[in-house]
Amino acid sequence: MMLTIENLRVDFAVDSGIQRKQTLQAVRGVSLELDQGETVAIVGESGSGKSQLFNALMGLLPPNGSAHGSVSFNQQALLNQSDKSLNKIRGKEIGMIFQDPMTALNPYLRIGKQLTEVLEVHEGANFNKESAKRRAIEMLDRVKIKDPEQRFNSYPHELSGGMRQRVVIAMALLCKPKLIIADEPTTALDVTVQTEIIRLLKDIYRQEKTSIVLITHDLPLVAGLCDRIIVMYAGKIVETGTVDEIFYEAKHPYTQALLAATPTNTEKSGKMLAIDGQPPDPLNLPAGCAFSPRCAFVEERCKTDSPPERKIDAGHLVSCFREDI
Amino acid sequence: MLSYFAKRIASSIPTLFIIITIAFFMIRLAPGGPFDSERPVPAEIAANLEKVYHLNDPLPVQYGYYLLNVLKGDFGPSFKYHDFTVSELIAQGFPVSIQLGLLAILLSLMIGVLFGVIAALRQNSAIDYLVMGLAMTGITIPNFVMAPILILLFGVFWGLLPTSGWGELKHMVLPVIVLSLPQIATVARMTRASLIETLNMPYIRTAKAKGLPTRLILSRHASRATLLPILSWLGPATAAIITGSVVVETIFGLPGIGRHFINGALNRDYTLVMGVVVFYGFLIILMNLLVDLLYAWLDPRIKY
Repeated sequence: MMLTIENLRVDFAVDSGIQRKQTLQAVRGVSLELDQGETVAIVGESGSGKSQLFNALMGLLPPNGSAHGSVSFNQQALLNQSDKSLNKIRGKEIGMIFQDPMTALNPYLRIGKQLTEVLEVHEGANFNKESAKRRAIEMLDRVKIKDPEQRFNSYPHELSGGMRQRVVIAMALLCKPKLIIADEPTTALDVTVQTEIIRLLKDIYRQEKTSIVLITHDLPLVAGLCDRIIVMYAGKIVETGTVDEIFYEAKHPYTQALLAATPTNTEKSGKMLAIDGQPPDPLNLPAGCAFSPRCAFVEERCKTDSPPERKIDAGHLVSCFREDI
Repeated sequence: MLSYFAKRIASSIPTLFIIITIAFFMIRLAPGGPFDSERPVPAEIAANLEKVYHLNDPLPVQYGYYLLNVLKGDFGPSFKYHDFTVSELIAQGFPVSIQLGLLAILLSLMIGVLFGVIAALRQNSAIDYLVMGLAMTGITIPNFVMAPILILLFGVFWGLLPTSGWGELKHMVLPVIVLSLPQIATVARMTRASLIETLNMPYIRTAKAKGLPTRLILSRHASRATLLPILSWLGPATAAIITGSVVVETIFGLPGIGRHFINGALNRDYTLVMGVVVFYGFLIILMNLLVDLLYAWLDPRIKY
């Protein structure tokens, strides 16, 4: 296994002013494994903990966040390591692509500087300014940026959103990482640009055999790109399976509701379907299954006990008491 | 860039004109005149003096005379310091004030930024609270309290430094410290807030995710955004320190221009007050222009 996450929990200390300090549980015991060359989508609503899961293992949690559990990447422990040892992995072995390319690039530095510095810090004594520049321009060309030589000297504000996201992708790819974590890479972009970016990620995956973790809330978007889908709700994995298993044989009521709420379904019925109720307050999670207050199939035991993980097929797992749905 | 510079210089002319106008009528509104004293001068002499300096003309006429002279670059003679023109007085005092002011600004920037960075990196720790507590104390103690305390300690009790005078480096130490202490505090607080805000920016997270060491993140990625608010403070603050050292100059008996400001106003030395006001106004305009140019240099998104 390339990446193994075991029982990862992410907590945030929240100071709400009048009240005493509270603990917000963003991720509540997530275990998952990822093989070399595998692409996985992590799907869930805002606040389901999907982004914090990967921020935690990259050591990117804000100061009030803490992570517990164990994560190993190619036999190396990742969780709660010093910045110094993490920096040997971040940007080199694991590349990251962020949600908003408008803010993910430093507005004060030229694109070229922001690209070559990845090589500068990871190649140490082998770093050569000229070859770094050449490789950065090659990479810009690779992510289909026109006039890469000129763009190398541009500032981020001189590029469009889609172009900037390509730069961010180029940045993540420069050191040929084994794993790319893409945290909602298309959410901030126009619909037409979204498909281009996904197509680009697909190309990269096909040619480099880089593993990709795609964090998103857009189920149809990931269908063509990923091997497996992991559905998260309120900090827990509720269902995992292959793309087909999730799309055609979803077992968890939340997955089913999520699929029903996609815009493609809406077009057929003529009205926008939404999941009833609100996502739970992370400071005040319901006892038992966190989805129970919104679930159409809720039973008494759902409100008191956490459902165990149940195996449907080799890779198809679901956390729900109801075996009849 | 050059045309912007020219435009800004040109646009400062109306500003200066307004400053001159307001200052001219304000000082004339104050009761008394330059030749009033406890022992009245004989009526003929007074009339003669007033005639020489156009003081018996109606105000608008005097204003006209003054504007014409300023246009010629002539700020007139001082009413109180005989044998000196206003320009000469400013030229004498300015080197002292600017040396004090620039040293104080430099010191405030170096120490203030250092303290601010330390506090921001150790946010909400004991060091942070200590530094920010000291900074608060620095802001709240006025310089007319701080100066005598330092004089008492370093000059009188320990005899390490002179308490007044000008000419050698040792004369500058206490005045510069007194001038910079509140500024150090301000800079430290601004740097702390600014750096904390900058470190929360998404592009800092990108830099971390790329595996950049903290030192590089601070020096390359966070420095500019952190310094921008301090830069906008720098313009007015430099002008204020150079011109506002009146108290410090008085306490340490320094021959700067700050005292001309106060003495000129108290003596109704019309031309001297006007000269110093116009000079200060010009200085502030110049400093703000410099800051705007530095802004464009720091932030590539700003183009003139």
